[in-house]
Amino acid sequence: MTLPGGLPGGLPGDVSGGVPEIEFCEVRKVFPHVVANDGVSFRVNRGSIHAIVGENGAGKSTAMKILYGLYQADSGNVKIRGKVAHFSGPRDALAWRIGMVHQHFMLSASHSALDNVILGSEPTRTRFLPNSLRTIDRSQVLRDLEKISQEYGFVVPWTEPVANLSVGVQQRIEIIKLLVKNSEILILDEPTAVLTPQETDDLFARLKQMVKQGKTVLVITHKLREVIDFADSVTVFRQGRVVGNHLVKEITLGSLAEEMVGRKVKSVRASGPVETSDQVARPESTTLALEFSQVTVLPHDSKKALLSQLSFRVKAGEILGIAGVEGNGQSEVLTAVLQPKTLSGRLSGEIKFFGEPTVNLSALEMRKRGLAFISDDRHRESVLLDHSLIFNRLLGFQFKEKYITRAGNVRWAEVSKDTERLIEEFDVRPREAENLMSALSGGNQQKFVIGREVEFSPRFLVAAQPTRGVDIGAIEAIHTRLREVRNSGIGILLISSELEEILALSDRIIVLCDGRFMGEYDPKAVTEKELGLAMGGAKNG
Amino acid sequence: MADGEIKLNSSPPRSHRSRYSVSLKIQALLRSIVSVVVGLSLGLLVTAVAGENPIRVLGILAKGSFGSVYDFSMTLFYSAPLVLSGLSVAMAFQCGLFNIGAEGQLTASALAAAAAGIAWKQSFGLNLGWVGQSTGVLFCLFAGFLAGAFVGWIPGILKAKRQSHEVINTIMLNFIVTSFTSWVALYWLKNPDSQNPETAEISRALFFAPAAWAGGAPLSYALLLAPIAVFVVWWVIFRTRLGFEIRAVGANPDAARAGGISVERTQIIAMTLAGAIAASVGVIEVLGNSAKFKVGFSPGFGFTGIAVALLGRNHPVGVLASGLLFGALHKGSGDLDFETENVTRDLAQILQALVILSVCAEGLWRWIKWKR
Repeated sequence: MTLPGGLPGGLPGDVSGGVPEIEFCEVRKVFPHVVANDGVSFRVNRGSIHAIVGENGAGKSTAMKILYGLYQADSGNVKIRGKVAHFSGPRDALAWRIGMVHQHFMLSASHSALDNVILGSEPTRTRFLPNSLRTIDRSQVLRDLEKISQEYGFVVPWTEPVANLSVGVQQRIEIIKLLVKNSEILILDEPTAVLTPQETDDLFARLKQMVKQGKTVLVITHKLREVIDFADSVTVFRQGRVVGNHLVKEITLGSLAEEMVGRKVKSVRASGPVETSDQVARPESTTLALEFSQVTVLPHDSKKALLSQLSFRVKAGEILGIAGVEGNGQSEVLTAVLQPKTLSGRLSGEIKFFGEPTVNLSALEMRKRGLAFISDDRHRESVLLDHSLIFNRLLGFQFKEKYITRAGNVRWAEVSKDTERLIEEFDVRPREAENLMSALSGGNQQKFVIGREVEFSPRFLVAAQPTRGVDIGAIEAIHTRLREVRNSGIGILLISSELEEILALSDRIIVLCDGRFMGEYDPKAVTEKELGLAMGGAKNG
Repeated sequence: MADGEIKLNSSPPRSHRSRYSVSLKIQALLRSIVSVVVGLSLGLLVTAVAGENPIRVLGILAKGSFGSVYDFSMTLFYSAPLVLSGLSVAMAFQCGLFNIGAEGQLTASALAAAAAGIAWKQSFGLNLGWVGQSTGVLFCLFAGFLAGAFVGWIPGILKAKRQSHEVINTIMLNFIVTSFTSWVALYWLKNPDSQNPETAEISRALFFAPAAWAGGAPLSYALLLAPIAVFVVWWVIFRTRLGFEIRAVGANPDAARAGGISVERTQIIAMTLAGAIAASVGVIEVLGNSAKFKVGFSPGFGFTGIAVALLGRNHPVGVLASGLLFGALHKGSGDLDFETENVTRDLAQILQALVILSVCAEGLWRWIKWKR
């Protein structure tokens, strides 16, 4: 199935006579500490929709940013229409007629749709005046835009401020911006992440029309269903490398999922059997720690639920893994557990923490009830980089009588002593409690955070992406620590987009896609392929 | 702190466990001192351009601010309001908020203290016992603090509940408070015996007269409020749970929230405290200096407080030091008018500006190092 060196010429709709529109040849890009792209090669033919798939951090965005001129490749080259292209910025990409629709739209909310399209290249009248004093000729543009709109079937209320338009319409404006600039190659970064199913169908219908007229469309996505349904060809990224180039008609959803997740993943899971035996030894706990029943979370504005009717239970002494591609409701699960109060009015259904409904409880009240949290965004939510480890030790425990006198003073000596013990016990290096948090490596920061969260024997632990941005040596230590916590009878809700991690740690796995429950799996019986399918939105069974 | 980090990565021997934090503090202190020296040197170079001997100018400044009991008392007199308004700005800064409203807060509190003092006079007359005196003083203090805290609370609650920016709100409140207090002073509490825009006098029994040892300077014991405030603010920020929460919110609101701290509540408290601290400027003006509310009594104490807090790195002790420096420059430069040919008292402002610039230039210095 894999075609070494890319696709053969002569695809349907190929009118270029065999010269690919885009060709990546052995592109390599290294950032400090990480090889983002290595030996990336693929071809895209003119007049096709080409999908770029891969998990987060697989290197697909880096490759696209190289194509768009935001990054420069360290070695290898990119050929456009057979010629080696050098980009030193998006302006050069524009000259090669490459345009990109970013995941977060680049629109000015208070300007009209029309003004957003002409922004930066306003057509002017009164040419005898200096440039900045000329009047803008909107009527001419409007006629052009109406023509383009009709050609591709885009309906846009041109005089309306962008702020009043839906996300789907905003996306159309972004695409039309590129068409007006005569872009031949359109890169769309996760275009359907923000769209409803209907809007998605509509978008791809328009894209097909563009492709028919000779444009080339690159779609970055992790929704495999869309690849199978709409794309002509696909490139699969994994760990910075291209692991497959396929024609979509030659593959299945299953084979794509398997390839994206990777076959050679036994390494972490190999430590499983030891744990299995120890799982058997543990007495089956019956205490229900966390219970979601029919939980639905609505966003502030649109109607599409961020979480819909999610139900699950976590018992004391077990790890429930929530698998899923990021942005499929995980952050809402976190907020619903940790700070139910902030979702008041938007949350329906019931959440119980050790049998007690948590509705309208604040983060402090949840922490007082014994909830501990390892954040997926360490620098934003877990640590204060400009403060010492001692200061950080107190964060989240500033209500403990052990640390606060009755008059409200902090017992810094006590905090300091506990910090010393923590960094010793959890092997945080360097062993210096007065260090600023920013002086520690990511792995050591994470070890510190885990230590802080579990040291006070919480009743329940929420661990989101606990090994993100952590070096390989620390991953194993963190996993071991989480198993110890579990074995001591504490329930853990593990949220991770790393399938290996989910499979290595969980006692049970549930999969989320689009805020919906996709099925529950037994990590000993399930294959990664099945999980990958569920994560990509294919229904269980 | 950038230069400290590199060394920190090596594992230090355990016996030196606090060496690093001490060295970080010393580094911060050294940097402040260097900034001040650089700023002052640049300013004195300017006097050389104007045809004066910089060393002589420096001598006049030193003599003018520290030369005698009177001079030094005057320096303290000028410094106290600067220290207090600097503390107010620093308190808000610790919580990540920018309080430009100290001017409005201290103006409101001066009026409130004056009104309280006038009311006390009308209710109890002039012959008070010691109990009446001290209760009256407390009453004035309370009124002043309440007014300042209220004016600080408004932008705090707007920030917390409506996410409207405290910079805009504090600036606008300055105008509102200035206009409102003038109106009250001129139409309600006007001094019938005076042509000046000021209120009637408070009860003399509540007034802190200049200390006898101050050599004729208007230095009264009311100004003791400044060192007391330094200590209290230091204690609150560094020793209490509230201070911990304020600093955590200032460092990273998201992490603070995840740690169970109510960011909104903390912001409201910090702004209210900032207002109360600024209020002490108004209180000492009324109880320790003029015995009445004068329209426009503050020559921009609230704004100079921003510079004082900046130079003092938002640390109460730093604010004390920088407030004293600013006060000394102000006092010392007064003598330049008649001691030199070409330099006037405006040099004080040039020096203050250059010191602030060189403090800010530290960021530039770090940036240059980072570029290389």
